[in-house]
Amino acid sequence: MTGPWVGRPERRREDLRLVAGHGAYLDDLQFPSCAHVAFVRSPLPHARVRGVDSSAALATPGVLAVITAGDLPPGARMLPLRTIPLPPDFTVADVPMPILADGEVRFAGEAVAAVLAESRAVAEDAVDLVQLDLEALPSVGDPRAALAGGPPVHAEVGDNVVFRWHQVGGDVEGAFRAAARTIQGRFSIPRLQASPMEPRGCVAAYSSAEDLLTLWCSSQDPHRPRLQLANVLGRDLERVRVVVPDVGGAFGSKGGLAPEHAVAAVLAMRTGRSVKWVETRSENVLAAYQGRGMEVDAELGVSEAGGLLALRLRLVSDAGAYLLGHTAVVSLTATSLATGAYRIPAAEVTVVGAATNKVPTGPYRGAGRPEAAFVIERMVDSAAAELGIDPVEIRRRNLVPAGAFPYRTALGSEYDSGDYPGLLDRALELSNYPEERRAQARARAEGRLRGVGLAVAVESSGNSAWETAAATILDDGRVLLLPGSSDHGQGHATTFAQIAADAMGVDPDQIEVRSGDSQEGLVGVGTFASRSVTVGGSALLLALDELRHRCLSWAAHLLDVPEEQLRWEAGAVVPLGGGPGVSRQRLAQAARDRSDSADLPELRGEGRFVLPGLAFGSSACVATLEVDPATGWVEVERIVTVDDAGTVVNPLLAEGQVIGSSVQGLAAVLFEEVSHEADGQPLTESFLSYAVPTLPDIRTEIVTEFRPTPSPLSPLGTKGVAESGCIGVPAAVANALQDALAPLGVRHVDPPFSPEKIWRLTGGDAR
Amino acid sequence: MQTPAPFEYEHASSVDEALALLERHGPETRLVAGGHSLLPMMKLRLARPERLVDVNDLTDLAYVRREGDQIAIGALTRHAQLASSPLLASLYPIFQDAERVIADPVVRNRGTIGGSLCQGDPAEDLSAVVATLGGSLKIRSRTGERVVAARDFYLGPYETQVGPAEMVTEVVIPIRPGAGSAYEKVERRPGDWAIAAVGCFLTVSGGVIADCGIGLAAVGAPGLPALEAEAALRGRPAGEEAYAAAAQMAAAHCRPQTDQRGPAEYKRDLVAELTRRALRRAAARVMAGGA
Ligand SMILES: Cc1cc2nc3c(=O)[nH]c(=O)nc-3n(C[C@H](O)[C@H](O)[C@H](O)COP(=O)(O)OP(=O)(O)OC[C@H]3O[C@@H](n4cnc5c(N)ncnc54)[C@H](O)[C@@H]3O)c2cc1C
Repeated sequence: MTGPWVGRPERRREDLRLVAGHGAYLDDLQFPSCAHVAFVRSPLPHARVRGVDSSAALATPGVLAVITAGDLPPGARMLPLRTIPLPPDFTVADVPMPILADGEVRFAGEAVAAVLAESRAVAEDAVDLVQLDLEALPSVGDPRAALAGGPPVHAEVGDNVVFRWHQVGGDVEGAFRAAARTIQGRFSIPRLQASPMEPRGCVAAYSSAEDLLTLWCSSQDPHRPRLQLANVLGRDLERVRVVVPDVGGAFGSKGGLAPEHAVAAVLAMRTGRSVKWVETRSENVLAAYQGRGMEVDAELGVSEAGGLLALRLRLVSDAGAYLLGHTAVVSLTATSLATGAYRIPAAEVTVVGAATNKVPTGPYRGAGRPEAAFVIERMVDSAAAELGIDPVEIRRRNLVPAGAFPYRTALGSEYDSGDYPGLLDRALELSNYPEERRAQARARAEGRLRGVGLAVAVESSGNSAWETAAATILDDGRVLLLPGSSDHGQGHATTFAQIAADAMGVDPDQIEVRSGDSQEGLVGVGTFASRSVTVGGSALLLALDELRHRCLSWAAHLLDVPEEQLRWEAGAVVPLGGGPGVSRQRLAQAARDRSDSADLPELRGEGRFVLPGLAFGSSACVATLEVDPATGWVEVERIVTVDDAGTVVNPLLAEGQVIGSSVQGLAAVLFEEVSHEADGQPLTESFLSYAVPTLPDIRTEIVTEFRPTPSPLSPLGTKGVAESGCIGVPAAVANALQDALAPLGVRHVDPPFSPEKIWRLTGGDAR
Repeated sequence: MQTPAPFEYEHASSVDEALALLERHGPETRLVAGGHSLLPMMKLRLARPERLVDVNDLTDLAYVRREGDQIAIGALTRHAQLASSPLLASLYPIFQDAERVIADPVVRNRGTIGGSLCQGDPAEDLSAVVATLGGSLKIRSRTGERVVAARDFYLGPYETQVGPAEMVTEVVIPIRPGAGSAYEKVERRPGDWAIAAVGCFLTVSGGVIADCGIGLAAVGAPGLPALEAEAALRGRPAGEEAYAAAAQMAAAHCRPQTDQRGPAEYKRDLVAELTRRALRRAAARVMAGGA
């Protein structure tokens, strides 16, 4: 579907308000008689809590309460574990995350007590005064060490295996036997933190008159926190309202109820005060769930001619100290994409979740997709190098061809659409690949280390297959959309307005988009997994169909003619045979007054769309870089990425997503790494030690282009795009680095490619 | 933590008033200039001064000007002013080199040269720049003013000559006609604190190095001068051979520590490479006419 508005590079409607400082983020919300909560966190990665002495804190003027696990309602001690369905043979240990540590702390930063005070400053002063009596226990930070006899993180899980799964398709044994060679690889993909500009936070308020608990929280959607809060507190869903204000970024890290939210809610109910928690950056770094953290052993069976025959992976996921509802899902997604864009007839993946004394992991932009792409793309390049085949050639030979869709992979994913060879060819053309290779040859002749790297990546999108939307007409005739998923930077007010403008035959300025309040609109799912436009946009079309239909019924009533003699045209109802029609204003007013029309339905459309499968976006990426061996600095000069996101609703916003996620992809391989001591003690405690790049730090030229093949799964034909850069770019940069270092015989480098690591690999320490 | 422990706050409207407040309230009182070093430490509660004396009103201490054969820089001059000063750009481009890689615009709009030097962080870039150029600092107290050479200013990491009731008012840099200067820094990402950094200046007469200075950051004491390397360069023909020798000496002289930014041997190797590069760039600027 492309109309006059879908496909246009409309500017973001939300920017003026946000850029001018008129946004209202969580901490901007003001509440009368608001109290503030701050947390006492464990300094040790593993310890028995022998006692908590809060007497000095309680004696501080302005302190209202100090609570520990024992003060929580008995049902409200743990976050829910099973929030997302997993395959039946996916085994998961019963190690949910406590809301406050109960008797034992299992990572440094875990909240042990909460202090409620009249101001944030007093709360922090009192946190300083709470004495924790901790008895240190043996602990482990490295996931491989945890599995190799490391001290148990949970006494009841002696081997530290907190989840396990095995997925196999095709004759794996046979294919490896038939392979001319087996390429081996071992990868360590470090933990990353999402680092949203706005950290987490919430305000909880309880109205005993209505028996209604309201949580305003900085979250990706209101629906998941609401369900989980109702579940934790044992309340009816109707007695919990969640409102999401403007959100300053999430990148996967605000996808549910945080334990701190539940504490704020408990304190609000206990004290009758509204309770605010806005975390500090140090807290975010310590206690917000982190992403990636995967150790992978890979084997790729290849024929002498470069055919990819079989893949075997063992994925060890660094789960952390507890399982959140979505901790294991990352491994599931990585498994489903393990064979990447390639036709590999046999594949086998073993997933092992390792408990470690570190903050739990969960989704971070890409959430399993970058890990899968990194491994397969590095393996394909290793195969090319070992076989002496050009990296372009080995890809051309093995990519799923354009005519093969829908294509079922050996591991059971069904790719709906795409043209991977076409993407690769266009990326090579756009990057002037032959010239890049000539430049490399010249550089090598001068003794410089220059590399070119490729990646072809697949992005599954649309997970949790359904979404809702509602639509109605306001008194002034504007169309109000209430999508089930909410915005936290994606630009829903812009793209949904474009979709609705086409569907209703009006200009986008006649469309208003509102979301984030669980009391408005329908129960929905939310914004994650690059799903909003594809699933939510389709639900919107259904809702608007129904709305137009009801408009016709109302107009027939008002004009006193049969509905069949009317049609919807350019935003109003008009009679087929000509003559005056009925405007949207008139319809809205009539429906509001409903004086003589009691049997007509409300002027409102609702839609629920189920995506029959997943929509698979894809991208091909060419990275060019040069290494300075004397300092170890890696300068990525250019990224060229060609994306298939299906129908592009707004090219400007889509390009923004590609550029933004490419920058996060660059950060992931060049700068960022959460690091810990062997015992799990965090080493990266702030942005002084965790290197997040800012705008001036990214000097790489990023060239983007779209080459759509519409998805057959939805009426819009869209697919995800928001994660593409962070999936393809790290793999392409890693391949380029390997290519640059090839003359030195360097066989493998794990990210991040920090100056010191590269200096060492280029022989710096031997000079 | 985002809130400092409780403290008293006053602001001074003159140097004399600031000094009087420091004297009256004793050693637990601290000056606050840009606050970009002090406030983060207070928020993390690594620093707990009882009282702050805000000197941001002392706008007459924000200047870069020529005074005879010296450049005088007021202690309240912000990074951003240093970066955009035409005088510094023409006489000592080392300032611009360094400013381009110090922190980010937000920090550069607030942070001051006085605060940077008095913080005494071994990785502070301006300490290395001022030490390179053989600058000095004017330190005022109620009883008078003394001038301390930048190279004698540091007693150790985070420790300076400034007493509890004293204040730095000005930084003075000698002008050397025809000098070339440069700053080279390697960081994990641009704008981060240095893994290692090297500043240098050169004057060349008849192809021979007449005068020079080399200052190191993040590899030992704040603003560490590489004295042996300087001595070895003076009187030698400018060129790769001299630079290589100086690079080796600077590397041997520095005292890096292994930390999250890298192991000591890496930093030492960087010092050699960056010394070479800085000398080359400074020499090129000499040839280009002293800028
Ligand atoms: C995110 C970030 C990144 C940074 N990156 C870098 C970097 O890459 N390189 C670098 O060199 N620096 C860096 N800095 C440090 C920054 O340059 C300094 O914090 C800042 O310039 C210090 O100056 P200030 O005016 O803010 O000092 P303040 O924080 O106000 O003061 C620092 C100390 O000096 C004392 N003081 C201040 N003025 C005087 C005076 N006139 N006389 C006597 N004592 C005084 C104060 O009492 C205090 O003890 C960074 C800082 C931040 C926050």
